[in-house]
Amino acid sequence: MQKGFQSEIFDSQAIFRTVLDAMATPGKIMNLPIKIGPPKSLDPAAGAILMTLLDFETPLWSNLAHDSAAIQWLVFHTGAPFSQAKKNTAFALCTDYENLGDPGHFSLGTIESPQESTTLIIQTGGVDKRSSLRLTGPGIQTHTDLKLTGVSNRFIEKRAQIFNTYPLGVDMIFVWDTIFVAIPRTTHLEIL
Amino acid sequence: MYVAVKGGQTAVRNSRRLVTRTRRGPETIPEIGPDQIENQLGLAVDRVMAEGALYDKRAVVQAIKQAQGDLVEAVFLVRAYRTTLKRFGNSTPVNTRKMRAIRRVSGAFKDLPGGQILGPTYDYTHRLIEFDPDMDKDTANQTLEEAGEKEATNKSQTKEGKGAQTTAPLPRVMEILIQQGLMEKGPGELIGEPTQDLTRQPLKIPAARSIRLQALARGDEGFLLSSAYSLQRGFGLDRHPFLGELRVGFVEVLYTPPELGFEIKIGEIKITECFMINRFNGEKDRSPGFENGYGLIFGQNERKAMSVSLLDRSLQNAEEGKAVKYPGQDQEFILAHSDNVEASGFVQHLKLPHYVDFQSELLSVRSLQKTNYLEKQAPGKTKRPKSAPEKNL
Repeated sequence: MQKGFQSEIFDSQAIFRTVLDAMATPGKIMNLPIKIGPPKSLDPAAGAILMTLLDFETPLWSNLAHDSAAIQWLVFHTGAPFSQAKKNTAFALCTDYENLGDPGHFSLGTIESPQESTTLIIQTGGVDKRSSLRLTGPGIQTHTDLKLTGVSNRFIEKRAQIFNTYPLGVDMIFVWDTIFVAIPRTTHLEIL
Repeated sequence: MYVAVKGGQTAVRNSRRLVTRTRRGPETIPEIGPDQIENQLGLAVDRVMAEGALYDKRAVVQAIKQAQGDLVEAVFLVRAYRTTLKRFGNSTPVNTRKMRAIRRVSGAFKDLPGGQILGPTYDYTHRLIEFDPDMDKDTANQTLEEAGEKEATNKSQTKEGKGAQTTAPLPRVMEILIQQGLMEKGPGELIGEPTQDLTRQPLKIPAARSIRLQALARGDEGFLLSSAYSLQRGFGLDRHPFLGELRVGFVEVLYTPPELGFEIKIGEIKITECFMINRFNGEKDRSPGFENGYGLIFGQNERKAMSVSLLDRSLQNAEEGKAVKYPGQDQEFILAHSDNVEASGFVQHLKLPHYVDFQSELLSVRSLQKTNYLEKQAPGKTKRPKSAPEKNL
């Protein structure tokens, strides 16, 4: 089994802080503050974020198989239960970014407990500032432009369908290698 | 919970310095040590462990010392500390049948199987303050292990049959009543099934019994005691309840690490378990018998365990559709107000600046005075006295 964090406390704290900042400033590209070597199919940022957020009480869904190296690594280090159903999962790891399904199939939370929704960690083919998507909403001064390489317009359109269910919805973190960007449920997306 | 205070940086710093100073007292008096608190103020430690919902004597002792003996403040410190701890799994439910009991009494049965064990209790003391500094001297020869008053450490694993403690399994009085057909078995909802964790999810009313028992287990002792007392005095209980069984002792905590796959013992904890009996006269489809109330608390805390048992019964009654007339029968009243961290936060937040809130009240009251009051005093007279310019408070 490959090693997890160098320092469980300080590494996870640093990542948590960065994820917090990312969620507060949607569309801002963040750099992973630590070094980590997850199994091959996982981007370091995806591995590090999941290692920080998962524990034995947060089910994880993934398109990867339960016995894949990436899932085994996460489960071993965090104790997270592997979830077969999208609806009952706290976190979802999506690595097949070209064939992302409907984000509405995950948990959107309930009116009483909107926090009981799924947080999606999505690996992409690249994250940069080219104008492909326009982000507006809380935490963004005017607008932020973003390109998520490989993520289809179809997925963005599906996401638009659940946008109006606020305060329900899913929060998403798009990852590429050691960088990531957050698009929480409050952020409006426009395809340019 | 209200904890944030802003402004007056220097004043706040000075206040914190003063609290340190006041806490320590005169330097000529030796400082109290954690060992002394743990061993000589054990019941205070038990109370903070129960209400802080954390079985960690070292942390609790430090909290009591830091809070200058203010136990509710210590509970707050412990609750804050417990949120920083890593959670790694759930233990199997503790088996109180295998409890190494240091005390076990029943108010309902004189000759119960396993016998009555008086153990350490203040019930039979004379409640006279002993000003003699040597009050504990005559027991100095008895070791704590003999008194049963100690967790089995690795060195002294459960010395069998020694002193007051018992290691033979004690049958539960509740089970005896069930066997004799005097009490229904109950749905067994709490045995081994995954339950919601009150420390992870907010309290939602109506709450299941497993959640209620969690809330009561960490509720404020004073509030629970008085609420149970109100039931007894007639605000909710029609009949005299009986103490089926009250036991204090040590139970093993077992845990199965997923990577190991088999159960291991990770420690021992001291708990108080109480079971109350209430008479039930029968209904259409239920024969007459007895009903139970249950309480399980960290440490030795009999007053609280009994109060919890009485309240558990009363809340079960309400759940079964009986009328809710009194506070002690009302889930929301009991559960939403029993947490002393929440309660003290909300009451004490009134100390924080409310200047703007109050200013608006002031303006509102003044304008009410001008319009309503003055007009009532002098009906017909539309001319109002020229008001003096308001002083800004």
